[in-house]
Amino acid sequence: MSRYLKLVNFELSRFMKIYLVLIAITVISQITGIIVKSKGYLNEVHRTIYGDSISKAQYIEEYGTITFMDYATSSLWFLAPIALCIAALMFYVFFIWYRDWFGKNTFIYRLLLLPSARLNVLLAKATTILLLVFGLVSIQLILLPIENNIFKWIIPLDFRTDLPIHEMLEQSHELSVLIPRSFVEFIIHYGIGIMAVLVIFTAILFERSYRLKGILMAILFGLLAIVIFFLQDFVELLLQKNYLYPIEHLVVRGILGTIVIGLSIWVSNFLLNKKINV
Amino acid sequence: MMRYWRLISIVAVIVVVVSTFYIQSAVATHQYPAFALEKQRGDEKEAEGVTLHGEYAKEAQYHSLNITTAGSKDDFEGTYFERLARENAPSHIKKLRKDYKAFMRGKDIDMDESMLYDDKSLLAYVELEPFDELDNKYTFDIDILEKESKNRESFKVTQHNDKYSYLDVAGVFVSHGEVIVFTRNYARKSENMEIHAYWFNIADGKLMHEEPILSIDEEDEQTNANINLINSNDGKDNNHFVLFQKDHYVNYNDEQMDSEPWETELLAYDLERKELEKIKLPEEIDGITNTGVINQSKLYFANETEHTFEIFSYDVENEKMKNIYKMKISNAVDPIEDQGITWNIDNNKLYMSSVLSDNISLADLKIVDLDSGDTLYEGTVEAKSQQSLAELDDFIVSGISIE
Amino acid sequence: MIEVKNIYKKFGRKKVLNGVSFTAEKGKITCLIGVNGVGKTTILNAIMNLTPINHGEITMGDEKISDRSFEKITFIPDAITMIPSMTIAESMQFMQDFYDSWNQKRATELLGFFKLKETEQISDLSKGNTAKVNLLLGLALDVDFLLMDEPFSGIDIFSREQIADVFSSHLVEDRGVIITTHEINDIEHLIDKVILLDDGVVLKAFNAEDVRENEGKSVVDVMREVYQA
Repeated sequence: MSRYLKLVNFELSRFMKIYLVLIAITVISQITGIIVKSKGYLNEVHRTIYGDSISKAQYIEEYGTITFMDYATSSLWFLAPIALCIAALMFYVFFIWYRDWFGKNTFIYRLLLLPSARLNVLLAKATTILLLVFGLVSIQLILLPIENNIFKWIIPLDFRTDLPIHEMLEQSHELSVLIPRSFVEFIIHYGIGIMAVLVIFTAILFERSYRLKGILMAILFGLLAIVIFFLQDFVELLLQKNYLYPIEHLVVRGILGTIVIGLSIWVSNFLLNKKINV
Repeated sequence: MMRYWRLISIVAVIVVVVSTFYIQSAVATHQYPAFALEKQRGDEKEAEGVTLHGEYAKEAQYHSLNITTAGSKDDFEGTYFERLARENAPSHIKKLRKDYKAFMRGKDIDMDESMLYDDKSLLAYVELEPFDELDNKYTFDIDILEKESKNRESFKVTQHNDKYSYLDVAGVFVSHGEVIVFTRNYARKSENMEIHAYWFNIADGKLMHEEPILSIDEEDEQTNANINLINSNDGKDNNHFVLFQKDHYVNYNDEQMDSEPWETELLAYDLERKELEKIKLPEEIDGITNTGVINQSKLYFANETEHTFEIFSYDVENEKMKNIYKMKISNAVDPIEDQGITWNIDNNKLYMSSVLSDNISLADLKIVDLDSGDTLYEGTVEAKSQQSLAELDDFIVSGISIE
Repeated sequence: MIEVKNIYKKFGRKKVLNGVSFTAEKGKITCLIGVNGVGKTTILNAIMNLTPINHGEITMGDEKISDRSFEKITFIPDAITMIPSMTIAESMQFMQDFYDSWNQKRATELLGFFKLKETEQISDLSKGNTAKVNLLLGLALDVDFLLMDEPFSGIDIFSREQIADVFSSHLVEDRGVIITTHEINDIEHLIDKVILLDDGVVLKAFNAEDVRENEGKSVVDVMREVYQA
């Protein structure tokens, strides 16, 4: 197995404990949430039906049915663990580097002295972040049908409207960003994600190479990446015209994104080999 | 190998779960109900080029779709790229973008087509550059394409006027080598609004003539009037008229918003004679809900009652209204939905569609020759499978377009 | 042979290295001596490409040192380069995974020599044992050159003796060693070559054996002469 893959496996193992905790929190919170909320809803229904002495049909006519997504998009039980996972991974994008510099261990020495291209260290860290994200997305995709079944099992058919999972996702703006409808969009969303991670990594390496001065360079590099990626939008804003057709927009965006990714990797490689300071 | 269990298991889970999800959702995407326009009587050819625009509801979600004799296309359907290419623009705009790619580039008409004129021989586009408040300057940016020769003519005309604070384009027409631009000019000092017509000569790129043709003044202001240009710039019919609708709200005040009726004036501007004429609608025709259809030199209005559906033509010159078609409404028309009949007129043919309640077909389409009164075509919208029909919660026909 | 040619290094405005040149040969122990903060560690970092130099050149056998060299040259910093939560066995496994030059036989031998337990976690080790593990991870590589930064600092006397014994054993034999220290006593009799540094320059470089035999002086005597002059 190549040193790059060994590094990915190693980086994964370093986050595994926290990762399993995050997964556990998500599973427990979402499943508890669906049970608590569904039961609560059912109690509310009974109270209304007996309190106002109306029939089931009248209740449904007046209040409508609920869908699984009504629960999901409005409940902290469901959303908070997702937010927590996102926050943890965003934090880890930085920590995955700084943990090797700070503290008692000087593991960065080891990483930089490995007999393989130093860029592999960066690529392994980026791959790790990506796999961690995809892993959580997969967990959510496994959880959704399970939760949906619990929901169906608690709420009687008359009071609910069922939707297939992929249509449920479309109803939630937040979730459809994380799990878009088509595979092409999935690639686009996470392509942008990878690009952002690589730009942040390069910014971190600027800071690690030039310290205080590096922070300024990191900010400038970030701005440069933004300018390149949104070049067409800046041009169109300046001309006040939507000059490109949507498909062309996408192609140009793809090219610009590739340029940003390429530039980030190239600059990172340069910094790692010529400018890095332990 | 066992030492790499973390890497192997994470990758395996991701690949299996994500691919399963997207394969499932791709399969499901192809399960949108399919519909087609099917001939019952008459000539199939008449229905070619006719598109019914509709919406259907399934699982509490509305989807819009276009139905032709070839089948239906769900707006939600297709790959990401197909959806992207379809944008939000109407189909005729998309066709123009395909046929005249270079000319249509950068023309922002997805939401509002009033800046574009399209007929058999040419395309014209007029944009007002952002109003320069310092110099009291407004600039018309005019772009014309001859379809056959692909000749493109562009020119700019700048006007100075400190009376207005803002202008926008209400409509563009081309007639006898001239571009006619209707604008809404908003006054600087009051809330008045004027409709202006500007006549530009294509040959030399000069402004020939300008005049205000309609306005909302102080008096109108109290009744909260509003002017709209109601016929489209789609000039394939070679229209002689531009139709304006001026709405008044009688005794306007906030609390009675819904209780007082609107009063509607219809005004036709004759492009040949450069004259504005008021259209007098007979009392039985409700001018509020009836915006009319304009085709060539004629205006058409419909009147629908419980049992009958009538079409009137209006002759602007002699101000005469004539009943040219009358039909009994069949029982099959869904009375609960009460959507009425969706209609359009092109080339002296009447196209009518209504939603049916017979649980077999969803809607019908009838094409009638207005000269002879003969029915040329009768067809129905059929669901491709009985199952997809059963799953439908609602079906609406919202418009008919003819190529 | 490692050749350090006229290297300069600034940290901000502070000049740390001001044209340092020296060579280190295979089979010899070269010792960089100087008070703390004189730039010894910076020289080692620069050799390993862990800090950029402003000017000068460092080569190993006519080649610039890069990641391709790291199977032939290794660096043992003054702190352990492993994650504290790892055990000694895991650390050794890590080295074996990534280095072709890892010599498991020698690693096991060193483990016995230092009397270390494989199952112990690095964070639980005493300072002396941590230094030993650090040393072990470097020494178990079949490399031509070993760079060691202050291997004796802050370590108890018995550990020092043990570590010093390593230098005279077959574990180091035939390899080139560059070692930095500010206390020379423990290894004075082992050193082949001495580089005396101050203010970012080389004050004097000499063969320990030469001064011993020709001038009858110890390394410490020479140091005294140079630094107190």
